[in-house]
Amino acid sequence: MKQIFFILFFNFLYFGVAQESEPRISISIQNTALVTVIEEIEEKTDFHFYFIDQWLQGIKVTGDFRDTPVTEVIEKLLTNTEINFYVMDGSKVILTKNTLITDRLPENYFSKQEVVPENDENNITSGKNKVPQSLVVYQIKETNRARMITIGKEKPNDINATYNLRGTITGAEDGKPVSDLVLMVEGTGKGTTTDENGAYQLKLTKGPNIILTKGLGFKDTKTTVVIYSDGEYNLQLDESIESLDEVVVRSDYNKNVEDAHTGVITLDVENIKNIPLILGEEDIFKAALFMPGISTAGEGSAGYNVRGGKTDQNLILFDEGVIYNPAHFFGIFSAINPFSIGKATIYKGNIPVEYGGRLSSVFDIRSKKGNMKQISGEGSIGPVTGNLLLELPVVQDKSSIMVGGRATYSNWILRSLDDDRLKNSEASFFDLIGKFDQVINENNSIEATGYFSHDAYSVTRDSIYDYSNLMASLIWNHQFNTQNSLAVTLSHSGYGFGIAYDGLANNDFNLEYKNNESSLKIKMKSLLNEQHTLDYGLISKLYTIYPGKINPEGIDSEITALTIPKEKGLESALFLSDSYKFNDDLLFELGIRYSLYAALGPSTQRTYPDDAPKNSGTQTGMINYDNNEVIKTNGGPEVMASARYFLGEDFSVKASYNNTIQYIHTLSSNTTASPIDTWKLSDLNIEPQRSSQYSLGLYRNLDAGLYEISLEGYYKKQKNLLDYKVGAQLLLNEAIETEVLQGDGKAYGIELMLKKNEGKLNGWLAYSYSRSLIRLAGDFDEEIVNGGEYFATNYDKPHDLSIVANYKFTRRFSASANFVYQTGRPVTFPVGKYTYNNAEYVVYSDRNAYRIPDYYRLDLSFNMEGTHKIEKLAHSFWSFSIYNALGRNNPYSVFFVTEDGNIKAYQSSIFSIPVPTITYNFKF
Amino acid sequence: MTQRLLKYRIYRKVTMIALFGILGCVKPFPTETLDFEDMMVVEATITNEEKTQQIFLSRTYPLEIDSIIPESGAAIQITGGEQIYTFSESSPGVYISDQEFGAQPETEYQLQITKNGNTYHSNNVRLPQVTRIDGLKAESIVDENGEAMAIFVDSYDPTGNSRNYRYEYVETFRIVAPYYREKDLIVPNENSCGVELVNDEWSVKECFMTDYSNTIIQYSTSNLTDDNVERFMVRRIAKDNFIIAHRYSILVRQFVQTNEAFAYYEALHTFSGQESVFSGSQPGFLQGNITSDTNPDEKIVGYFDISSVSKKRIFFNYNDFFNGNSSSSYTENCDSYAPLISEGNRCFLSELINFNAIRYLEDNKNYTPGLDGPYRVVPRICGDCSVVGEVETPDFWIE
Repeated sequence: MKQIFFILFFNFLYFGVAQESEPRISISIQNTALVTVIEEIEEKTDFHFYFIDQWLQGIKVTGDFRDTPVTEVIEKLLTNTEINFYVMDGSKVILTKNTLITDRLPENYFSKQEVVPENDENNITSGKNKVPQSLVVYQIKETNRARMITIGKEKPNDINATYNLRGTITGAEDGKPVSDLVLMVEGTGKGTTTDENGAYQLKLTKGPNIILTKGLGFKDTKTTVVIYSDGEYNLQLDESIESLDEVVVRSDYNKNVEDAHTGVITLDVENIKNIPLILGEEDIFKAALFMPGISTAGEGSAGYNVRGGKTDQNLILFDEGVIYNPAHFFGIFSAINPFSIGKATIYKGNIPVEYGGRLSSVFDIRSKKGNMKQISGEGSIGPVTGNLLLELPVVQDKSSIMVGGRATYSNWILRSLDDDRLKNSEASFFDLIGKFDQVINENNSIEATGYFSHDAYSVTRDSIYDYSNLMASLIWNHQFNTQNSLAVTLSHSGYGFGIAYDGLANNDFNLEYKNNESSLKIKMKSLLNEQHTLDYGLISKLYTIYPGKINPEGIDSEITALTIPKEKGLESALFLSDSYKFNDDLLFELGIRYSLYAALGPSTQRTYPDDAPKNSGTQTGMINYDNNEVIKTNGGPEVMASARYFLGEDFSVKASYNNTIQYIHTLSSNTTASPIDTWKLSDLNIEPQRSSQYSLGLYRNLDAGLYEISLEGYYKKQKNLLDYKVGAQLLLNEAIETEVLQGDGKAYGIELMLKKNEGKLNGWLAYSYSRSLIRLAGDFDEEIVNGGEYFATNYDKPHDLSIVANYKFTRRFSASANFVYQTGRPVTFPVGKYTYNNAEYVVYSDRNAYRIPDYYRLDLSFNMEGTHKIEKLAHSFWSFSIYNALGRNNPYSVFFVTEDGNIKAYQSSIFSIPVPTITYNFKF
Repeated sequence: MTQRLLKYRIYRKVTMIALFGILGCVKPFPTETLDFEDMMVVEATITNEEKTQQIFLSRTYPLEIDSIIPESGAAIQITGGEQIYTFSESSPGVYISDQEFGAQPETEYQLQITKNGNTYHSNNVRLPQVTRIDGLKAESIVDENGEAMAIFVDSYDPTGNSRNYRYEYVETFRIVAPYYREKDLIVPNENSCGVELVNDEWSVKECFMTDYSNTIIQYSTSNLTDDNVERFMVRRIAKDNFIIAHRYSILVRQFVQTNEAFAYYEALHTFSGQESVFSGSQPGFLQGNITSDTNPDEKIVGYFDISSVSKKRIFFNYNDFFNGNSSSSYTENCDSYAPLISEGNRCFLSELINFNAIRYLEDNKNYTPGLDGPYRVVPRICGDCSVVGEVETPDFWIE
């Protein structure tokens, strides 16, 4: 209840501020230059003016104002000039010459576009694809006043036909680099897009070229570049006024069709805030689950299954550093601060060769660059967590710091409950992120990121569990010249958990587990020519795992201190890939990665004969290895090959092959991932996992990118997947190999995606039919499961349908809905029961022969943006959501227990009732 | 040393976590056996006690059935130390040794079963270390579930060879019929509806009940410096449980198990315990140490276990630990009522008496002829504990 009052209070406060009238000014002007007057207004108020100096040259104004609203002052001053103005976001005044900017489209704007398609200037072509008319931004005449710059001097005997132009594009307002901005050379079909640092390179023909830029949320520009030598042209872009309208300019609208990679998902970080998620937590991982091919075993399970892969087969990178368990609260929330994320790309196969070491996917998450112009921030207040992220410029346009923190206050809720059992439960978590960006000079920049997350929970009074992720990374970007660039990354990651037990008897203990990895990556990029772009480099990773340590706690404890010796391994790889444009229609992405893994000492490895199962009885001996002595090496080439062919405009077919090797594995005897799963390196007895995947897909954009359709199929074979003997004990076990089975995996599926990117109603529908199978057919009885036949994995959910829809009523109000349907996951079901030791027990036979009932869920949310009034504290966003609006009691698992000697069957579910939430987000 | 790791079953205690408690739920799931598999079940624990040893054979049965299906007509023998011990079926599925014997140290034993021409045998099993229970204590405790009695075991093996302990218990306790009266009603004349209040010479006020442990209770000291079981709680009885309402006795049997047997029982216990909501262990067929010679693919449920056993018994009364008297009773539904003698030509009260369904409680002070009867009565179980308990005082019982 307190909570609600708090939120309401905020609400009133906010409206109180917003309704204050706009600022007033007293000013007396006598035939003064307009520029001077503007400077004075800027000084006295928060208003900022944007204009080109030439426009105002020679304009003098006169006027006397007493306590007059600023906009009125501006209006009066400009009455007799050729200058128009427009006020944006309350305090940004945009001056234009002869051009009136409105926030409404002229009538018949769209139909006009269709009638007059042959307007030369707007008819830009890029590759095979015409830039659709509806993307042309609303401009009046302004395009004719293109800027012109000259680079170099015309030399009489110049034999070069082309020159390179490069540069960086930043936003005029915040100075942040603009990525994914399209630059096109008018009339040639040539073009490029800016990378994440806003950098671009273009090959221009000698002489004049007209360069057009188009980007999401920015005003289009048109510049005539007369080029006579290699050179640089940096551009600052004004925010587009169109961003306030329903016409959204998209920069990468055709990326899905053009790109040669299959199975790539780029998550639109801005848009996910509209998706209703559990307890109002904005979460890109949860949003990813609405995409085809990505699923979890259930609501309360950490870890993701990508295209039928295991949860340990995902490389989750945050600013190039690995996050081992990005989950809070058993996976109900993900552990990366959503406000810090700039970009998230998921590779479900066809993984770029610069990444490796995991079989199924790469989650490449990049934090955003901090604001280098002014202090800004974002925050949210929800029922479970509070979150605040601040961006602080250190040196204007040079460096910035971003700090963010999120913490739960659920303990407070738990303690106020009446239920005694819950009163004694605890669950808390927090995560912190810090980032430093520094632009050293035009060729060098540095990003440093630090991340920490911590969870603690206890259920019974006698034990406390906790786990943490730690990550630090440092990236140095260097530009040698227009063709060559370098990125050097140093990173360190760690994961660990602990169990503290304090019971009644003499066995109180503290148990700890942790693993670390340190890595160095050097990546070069070379634009050889128009056809070839190379990426190459090397990566080396040192793993250390401390598999477990137990210590007695308290003087009465008789627990023997025990430490399982640490494991060490070095994984290194060389990689080379070429983006090869064969012709306008055919594009290849070819890459090879050669990885080499060495398990290193100090270690003691057990040996077993080949013709007997591995167990304590068959062990033949032990081999001791000195520090850094190589125990065993594994490795091999990993190939990534894909091709894209245009079947028509906005229509392509892609095919790909990819094989991967994984040297580090999780140990879990549970059916779903848990925070106390440990990691294990390949060694003398545990083989690396291997996978190869073939995929084929069709991609089509309709209506100028308004609709995206894709259909992808894949087939994946895996080897040496880890599984466990029945009743395996994995924690604090030195001889893990005696509990482990290694088997083959097989997964295949077809994924359909229909997406509407814009409009009042937007969203997507994702459907996949997929299977994920495993075969455990060892040579010995104890290594055979289900008779050595393929059977469904614990996360095999053939039908998976997600629908995400968002409807905008007005600019401020929108409603969203998600619907999810999935086949129930497989469970092992008893084949009978028996009486033993005075009690009934069930007997299990074949694994995963039964499925729990199907899963479906509907979530709804209603979102309200703050007003666009002048002078307010912050831009705000309210979201009211209902998770599981149908109240469907989706079973998470079905299990059988012996209670008082009798068998009882139960189903458990995580969110069995509708969960309403109200969340307040703000941005300043 | 043993490859088997240390046991931290504690982490399996994660049964529910807070948020789940608010939003999630666990509810019964209607089941039926989908693909019933008929298998032989062998329950054979031979101890070092010199006695008639017992082996139980049965078959698995479908989930929706509630009766044991005994496996009759098998021939069973145990070989060990150049001896053959044969067993005979004493009642369906129960096989007892033809001679008394106890497992001896340093001897390998093997179980052999023949049934319908199929033969089965177990791995060779040795008797583990024999370790005595040093102490058995009853104490009142307060834990997160409230006030309770706890039974603690202490045991110490200076040789350090025991390590794996399993416990069973038998509890015997006195029960008292809550509405026992000195008088009861009889029907003197079978042809009439009339009843008569006489001295009650058939109902029993105080009886004894016996119950057996039906969970797997294990404790391992393999992670402790000393092979020392200290204050291990084998039994927790809530304060308001009727079994400790009067006088209570518990016999605890401590088995020392081999590593393999311990692991088998532990896995069985894990599979049958409350699952963690957020992570469930992967169940599967639990392979014991008995295999078929005839058909190697045949699955046999159960384990041939040779255990050393030590036992101890204690007694206590409710008021040794708690103030006042316990109000808990073995029966709850003791609402009294006053049945009509008859209605029309149908007898009511006498019929209930003839069915031995009721006991006299008191005279009906507000007797209204035609509306109710002259005597208030209670269900028989409320006035006569022999419905559920034994009348005879057990031989071991000490007041």
